[in-house]
Amino acid sequence: MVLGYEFKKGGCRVILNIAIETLRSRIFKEYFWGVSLTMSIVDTIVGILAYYYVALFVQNAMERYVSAYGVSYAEYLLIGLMAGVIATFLQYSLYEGISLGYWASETDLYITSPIGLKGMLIGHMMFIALWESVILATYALAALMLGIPLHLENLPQIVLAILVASLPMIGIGLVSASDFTLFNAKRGSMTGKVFSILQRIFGGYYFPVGILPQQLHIVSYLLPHTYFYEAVRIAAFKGVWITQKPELLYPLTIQGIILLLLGVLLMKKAIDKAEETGDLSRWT
Amino acid sequence: MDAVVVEDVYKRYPKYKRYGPGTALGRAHWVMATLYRLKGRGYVEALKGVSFKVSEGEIFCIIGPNGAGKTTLMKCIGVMLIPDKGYIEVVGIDVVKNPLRAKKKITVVGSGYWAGFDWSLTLVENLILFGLMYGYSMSEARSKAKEILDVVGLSEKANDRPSKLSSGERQRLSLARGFIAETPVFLIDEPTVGLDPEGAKQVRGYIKSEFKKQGYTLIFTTHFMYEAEYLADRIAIMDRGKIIEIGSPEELKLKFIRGKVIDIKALNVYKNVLEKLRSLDVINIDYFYRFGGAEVNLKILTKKPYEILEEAIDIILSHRGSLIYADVREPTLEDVYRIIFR
Repeated sequence: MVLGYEFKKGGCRVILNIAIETLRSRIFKEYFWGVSLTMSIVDTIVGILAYYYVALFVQNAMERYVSAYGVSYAEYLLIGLMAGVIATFLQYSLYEGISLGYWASETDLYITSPIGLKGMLIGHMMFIALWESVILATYALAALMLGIPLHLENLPQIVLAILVASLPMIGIGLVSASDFTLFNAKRGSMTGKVFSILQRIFGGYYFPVGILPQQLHIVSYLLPHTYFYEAVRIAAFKGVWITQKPELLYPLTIQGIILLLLGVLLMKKAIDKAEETGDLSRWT
Repeated sequence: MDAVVVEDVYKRYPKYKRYGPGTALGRAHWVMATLYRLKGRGYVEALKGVSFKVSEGEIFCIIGPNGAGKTTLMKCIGVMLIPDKGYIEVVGIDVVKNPLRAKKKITVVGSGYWAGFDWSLTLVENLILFGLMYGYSMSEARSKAKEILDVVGLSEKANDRPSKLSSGERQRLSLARGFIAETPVFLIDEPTVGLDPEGAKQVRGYIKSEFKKQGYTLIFTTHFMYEAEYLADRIAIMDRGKIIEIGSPEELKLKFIRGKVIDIKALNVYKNVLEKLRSLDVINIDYFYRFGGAEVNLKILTKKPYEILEEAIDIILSHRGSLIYADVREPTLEDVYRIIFR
């Protein structure tokens, strides 16, 4: 693995400097496309309103599925959507960082320097984190305006649930990012797409998995997202610590270890392949 | 001392075979490519045992037709690709064993769109970023960037964005990236591609004077023979992954051309005339027609230039041709290239 900087004295400072410059440049680019930024925020608000009114519309039908949580379906849905923003960040930011750098021809510049890609990737991930924070804040603001409680009194429980669930999500993130060079840069992240599809149907993102036919529950149980959304929801609605729920804690930890190991292995293989074939360079 | 040593380097790429767009197999072409590779015949041999040495402070050029392996070779030296076999050393550092140390000694400047700038940052910010990449602190990088912009004559545009620069200025900014990092070795792919004649002249002049003055080692590729001849101390000619000749421009000319070149521009010269010219004591005749065949440009390579010039003019005029221009000159690298790849 040579695409990194030697972590000798001052190495971290150098990487951080690069990351901040990359972040600054990305912020400028987004600011430059101000109309697009504004429209993205408007799009998010419209999305929340649409979800809210659909939730009101199906409230009676969903009552028996969400009554166990003691909340309305709109509340159930909104917390899922907010947790989804965090899951998306953990799963896709590394891939997005490589992809953004590649298509902007930045990877060429970075791989020829002794710093390698770390500074650029961290910078892009910082930007994506900033962007997702804006989206999360928009959700929170919309929730307040619509009178949906955010259960901030249970914030420590929510944070712990997210921290535990971040293990498998980061593992998926590593697998998704390694797609980029293992398969083909132009084909995008197949792993990311697969998980995105699965989590929306089977992961309890929009609705409780109990709605699904019994035969399909096996898929839900195999997905870390199912445990993640459940852990966040019970933490938010009931103040339950994930450590009190072994049926959520153990699967997340085991899946986390497996996916992290797989992710690290595939990432190393992808970097080796990129060095062998020059896949991260657009210079031909 | 040798700045760059390349010994018996081999590199091959997997060949991705497509099975028709839109078909199920086409969509899974990477699966097919893997199977193809497993059969052991899915590779393109880009470099086949390339060896040469470049001395410190030398300007070394690699020329050759498209697909000869020039860019692959540059990428291998620039630590962007790992060679399958062989040894590459930059300033005494093995690039495969110590890639990060080697990268600190090399600046790679690509061609065309691969300009390597951040278009949202100003010139000075771009150079600061590049300084940071080579391990300078923010304050060191800032003062270095200002100093280097002065050296490349862009200090007045320090706060402009690269999009406001002319092509020649952008290329100078690319070179400034290497100057800020103070790397002893530069690799430049086609330094004047896409530049207008004035911009190209500016960049060539700059490379010629600055690189020699600073003692930097430069390896560059080009398709412009004039450029290779003007800039390079030595030239390597590549074809199909191999270096087929290496030497100074003069050595190459002496080796391939023992004679002079007659340039003739004439009207109404047809095939029968060309046949007669070929029957003279010449080494080679190149010709191309312009203006729908009305005008022909002839390049006649011969050991007896003045005798042949007289005979050629007689032949053209006796066949109702009209002479526009005729001259005898020393051969150029372009003539060498034409002879090798004719």
